[in-house]
This record gives sequence, structure tokens and C-alpha cells, in this order.
Amino acid sequence: MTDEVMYAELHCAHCDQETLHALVYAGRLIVSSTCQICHMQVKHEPGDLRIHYIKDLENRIATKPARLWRRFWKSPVGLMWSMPRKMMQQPGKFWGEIKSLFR
Amino acid sequence: MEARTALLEPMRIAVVILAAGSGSRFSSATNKVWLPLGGRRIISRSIANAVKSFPGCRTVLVISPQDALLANQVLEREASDVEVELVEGGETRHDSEYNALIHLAPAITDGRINVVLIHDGARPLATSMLFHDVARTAHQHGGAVPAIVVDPFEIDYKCENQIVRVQTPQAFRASELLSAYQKAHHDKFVGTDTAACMEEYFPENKNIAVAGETQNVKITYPQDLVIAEHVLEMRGYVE
Ligand SMILES: [Zn+2]
Repeated sequence: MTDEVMYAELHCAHCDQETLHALVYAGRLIVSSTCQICHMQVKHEPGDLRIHYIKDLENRIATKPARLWRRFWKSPVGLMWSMPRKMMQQPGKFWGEIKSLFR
Repeated sequence: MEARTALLEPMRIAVVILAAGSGSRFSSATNKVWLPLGGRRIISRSIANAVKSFPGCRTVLVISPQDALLANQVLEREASDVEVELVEGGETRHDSEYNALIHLAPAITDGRINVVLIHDGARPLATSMLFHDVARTAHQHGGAVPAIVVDPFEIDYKCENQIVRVQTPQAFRASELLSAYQKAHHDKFVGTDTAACMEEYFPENKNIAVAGETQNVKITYPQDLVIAEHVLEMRGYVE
């Protein structure tokens, strides 16, 4: 979910109807949403978001062993195959998340 | 009340989670229940809240047919320890509820389920306390609907009546609920919500209002996602 954009129908307060919104995520957190009709943007306050991101990152690190353990029990082979690729992606993933927060 | 509670048979719960939506006009749009919220999909959080409240309960997830692949992937990744039964939704919320109840009908008819909770998948922050409150109240009285009182001035400054906003999960005695939906299907009656259908066919049945939760937001506006993230953070990212 690094700087990922997802599209969903949500209610736009400006258009007063359900419209397509582009939602930008940094890691697990939402950075902004933009109505694709009127282009009204809702942004998470940057300072607020950075504190929120650091807390979320702490939580992700703290819960990672338990989450990996659960996945290992479910599919040991599948997890072993995906681990090297996922570990290689980590530095790029964090850099992408941080870029989204500070731009 | 205690004597009456003692006479009641134990609760046997099924939870129906509605995630079918009304179909999007935009081909690129994801149904909002599948959006990530604090690292898990909104719907996974709604399911987790229900299952944590009633371990081992029957859990029915009503989805749009086009979301079947996504649903299987998400459930596999985020709810693999839960047995979730997928049911195809209908054109309206009422139709989706009917499909879910028909799916549960054999178990309701033979008494393996005696209370059904209907929950909106876009409400990922309902607590176990609320799930228990509605289930217990429905078991005792027939139906339970969470509601919060709204300042009438918020809606209309001339309004003098008390206004409440209803939420989910709503709970009902299973046999009456199934019967109401079967009759409604026969009569082509479509209620505005579950409680309306029950009131139409079982007016003697009491739908008791229980205290809703202000944090039990329904993801509707984009800012609701931000609010929900803050609530999750306050809760330490625990459902
Ligand atoms: Zn708009």
C-alpha cells in the first residue's frame, strides 16, 4: 500500500452525491481524497499525519512477528517463497511512504 | 426481568454482514467496504468485530457477484481463521437481507439459530459491547436497534421532536425475521430497513432502541476514513 491510489465511490459534500474519489494512501494511512467530478480534496493535516504515521509504524513493527507467525502456520511454503522478495522491497516501500507524507 | 432471562434458552447467533452495495456507475471504483483502513480492509474489521463478539457464530457476508474474487482473496489473507459464508446480494439492501436469510433458513427453522444480527459492512468500529447489547435485547424482546439522539437543530431549526439516528448492528429473533422476509417477498413489500419490515409483519414485536455509539461511523464521506483511522489509533489499532 505504498503511495497507492485507490478509487471508490464516496459521498462528496460539495457535489452532494456519490461520486468517484481518488484515495491516496501512504503505507496504511490515508493521505488525501479527491472527488473526480468537482476535484474537492480532503487532506489529512500533514503534521498530524506524520505523528499518526510514526505511531502506526510502531504498531506495524510491534505486531509484525505475530502476523508473520500466523501466516507461517497457514502457509509455510508460500510465506518462505514470498519473504526474500518482500524483504528486498522494504527500503523502497518506506521511502515511498515517507515521500507521500512530506511532499 | 431476571426470572424472564433465566427462562430464555441460550442465544444461538448468526451475523449477516452486508457488503453488496448498490453497484457502481464507475468501472474503476472499488466498493468502499473493500478500502483499506489502518492496514486492513474495512470489511475485515467489520467481520472481526462480529466474530470477536460471538466466537463460533455463523457469519454470512453478502457481496456483489463481481466482488467474489476480491472477497476470497481478502478473506484468505485477513480473516483466514474465520469461517465466512459468502452469499450473493440482490439489487436492493432488502433483497440482500432476504438472500442471507434464505441461506440461513434451514438452521433457523430447526432452532440452531435463534437470533440474527444484521450489520452494515461499512461500519467497522462497532464494539463488542454494542453487538452484545443488541443481541441480548433482541433475544429478550424480539428486536433491537441502536440509535443515537441527534440535535434536531442540526436537521431543521423548526423541528421540536427528538430525532434519532439509527445504526447497525440491528438484531431480531430469527424465526420472526425469516417469516417477515418470506411474507415481504411474497407480497413484494420492500421496507426502508430491517426494522421496517419487521414492524410491517410483526407489529406486536417490540423493536427496542439501545444506546448506539458515536464512534460507530458509517463510512460515507471521505473524511469518515480519516475519523475512523483516528478512532483506531485511539484504540491502539485493536478492533
Ligand atoms: Zn465533488
